[in-house]
Amino acid sequence: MLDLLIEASALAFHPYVLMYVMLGVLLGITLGAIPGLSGDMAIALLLPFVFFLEPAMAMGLLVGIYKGGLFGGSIAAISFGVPGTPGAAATSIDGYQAKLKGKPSKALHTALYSSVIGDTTSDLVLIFIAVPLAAVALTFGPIEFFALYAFSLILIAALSQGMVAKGLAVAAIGILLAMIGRDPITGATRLTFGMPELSGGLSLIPVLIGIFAISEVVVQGSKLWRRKVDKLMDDVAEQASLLQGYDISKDKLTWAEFKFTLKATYIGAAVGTFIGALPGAGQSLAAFMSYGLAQRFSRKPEDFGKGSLEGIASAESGNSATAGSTFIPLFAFGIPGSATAALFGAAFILMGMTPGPSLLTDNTEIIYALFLTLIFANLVNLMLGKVLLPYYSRIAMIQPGFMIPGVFILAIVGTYAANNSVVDVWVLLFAGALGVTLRLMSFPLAPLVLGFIIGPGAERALRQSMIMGGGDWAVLIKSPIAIGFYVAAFALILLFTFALRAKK
Amino acid sequence: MNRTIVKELLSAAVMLSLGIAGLIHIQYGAWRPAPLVPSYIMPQTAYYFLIGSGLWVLAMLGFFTLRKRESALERPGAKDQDLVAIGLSSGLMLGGAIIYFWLVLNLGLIVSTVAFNAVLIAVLAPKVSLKGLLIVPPLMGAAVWLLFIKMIGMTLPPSLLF
Repeated sequence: MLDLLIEASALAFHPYVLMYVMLGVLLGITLGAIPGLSGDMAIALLLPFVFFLEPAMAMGLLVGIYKGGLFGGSIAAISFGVPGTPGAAATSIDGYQAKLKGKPSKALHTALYSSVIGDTTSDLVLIFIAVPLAAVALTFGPIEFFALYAFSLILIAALSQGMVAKGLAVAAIGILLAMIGRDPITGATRLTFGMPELSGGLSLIPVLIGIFAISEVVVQGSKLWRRKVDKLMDDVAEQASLLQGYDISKDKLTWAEFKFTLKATYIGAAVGTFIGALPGAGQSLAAFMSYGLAQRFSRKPEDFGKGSLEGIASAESGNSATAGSTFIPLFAFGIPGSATAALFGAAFILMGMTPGPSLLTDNTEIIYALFLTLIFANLVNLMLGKVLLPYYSRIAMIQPGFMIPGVFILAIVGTYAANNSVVDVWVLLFAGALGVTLRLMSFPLAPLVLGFIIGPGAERALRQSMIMGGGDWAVLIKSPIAIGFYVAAFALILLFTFALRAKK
Repeated sequence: MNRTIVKELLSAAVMLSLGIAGLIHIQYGAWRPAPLVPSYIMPQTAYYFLIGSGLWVLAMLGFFTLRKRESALERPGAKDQDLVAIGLSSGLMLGGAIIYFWLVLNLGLIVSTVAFNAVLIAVLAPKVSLKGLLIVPPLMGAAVWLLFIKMIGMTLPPSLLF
């Protein structure tokens, strides 16, 4: 074992490998911070280069991009209200509010620390209990998965600032948007309104950016225009987003504030690690569930949605804590639990390694070197993030009159660049218009995005369950785990409906 | 009738009409049959949720209106939106985006980006100076070129300019 560790260390801490990790983290943070771009996109683009690198170097570069991208997504989420990556959608809820209140540095530092803590926890779980945890995740059948999806949707809807009915309605709209395209079982097109361009379904990036970013940019644009007409410059919230008067020295995260966010960070780390190990559950679900649970157990739940540091910590920790555990099904059983795991699986294959149980036995040194690289990349992420954050904080405080047109253009071009698809741009603008309409009618937006993300998985689980039950709906309540999820969801709806109404 | 009640009624109407229209589409639309579980099972579930949510909103509206507590229907901390400003902003930005992207495909990415950026800044920025208008849009054009053309290698159809 000691020999193995020494050999793995020699591979992982080779100067070139360290250099590639640092380059990867830098690239990942920068790309993740740009709305519309993500670490996944960079990993996909770099896959052909894997051929030309030694396995340890290639893994170092990819791991660096992945980890940097996870944190970088929160920079865009906090600075512009645009989730740079799907997993950062929950971070934008409180992160952007904190930025509007003149606390971008605190928000970004909270995101950095919670991201690194969540990520490291997840990596340690991957290293030490990968196989047993994967076994638990794999005991979940379609019935339990459907219950988990339903629980997540209901939890988010119930926590949408007291608008339970509207939360459920937009979650349903999100699911309907996810149903556009080909039926995965019959192959027939559904809800395409006769447009063949929609038969492939709606891509995640334009929907996500449209709903969150374009609608926000349009609403902010309307405020700017109003101010231009009225010459009103005394709105305190608007002032907070101007460069003038911003003093970064007064916006430092204190030790007391960091300690206060630790509980939320640990909740995120635990939830994210567990959810990450479930194939298909993903970063967004982990972030939103962590956010919901942290709010439930917070001493200040009323601050969530208004720039709460706990909200940022839980979402970011939950998001990042999927980083290590998402590889558990890939390493143990060859099942990629997420898009990122699928990209890494492809990289393994390109390097001549087969994902699955034989991966650990046939390539022990490389895999142990990868484990060490995962931990080292977190340290690099922490150090580079710490160095770069002051600059990102300042970028975030540039006058919105100049920033908003820039973000708007980046979102449009970034969406096109993701797939070189013109249809995606039209989907982006449609989603933007939908987002503006929903904002005007006081609908929460997060349940829509969650519904869209987990819609296909939920449908697959529902249909598999129904087939198992011979078309009988009662099959959905035949598992004790599933019943537990439904009871918890129902209890939460009752609790939050009456608790929040009573507060008013 | 105050603004909150109008908003809630409108929301409920949207939810109910979308849900009912969806169920009618399921009933009379052309859905390919599938063994045991029809392909509309998930959309149908979503439509039921929409109708249920719409009825829930109506019930809450009635409940709080009768108790003269309409404010309880509003989201905490919500402000009235300026509909004229949002309408103009939506028209300018979303409508402008359609023209912008058409220009990107036909005229060229950089020229269109500089022009669209300048128009948006001129209309939206409260204290825009000529210097700002001359400096920022070309910088934006350069950033887009560097990121998407040089770094990402984005491909666009051949255009008139650049």
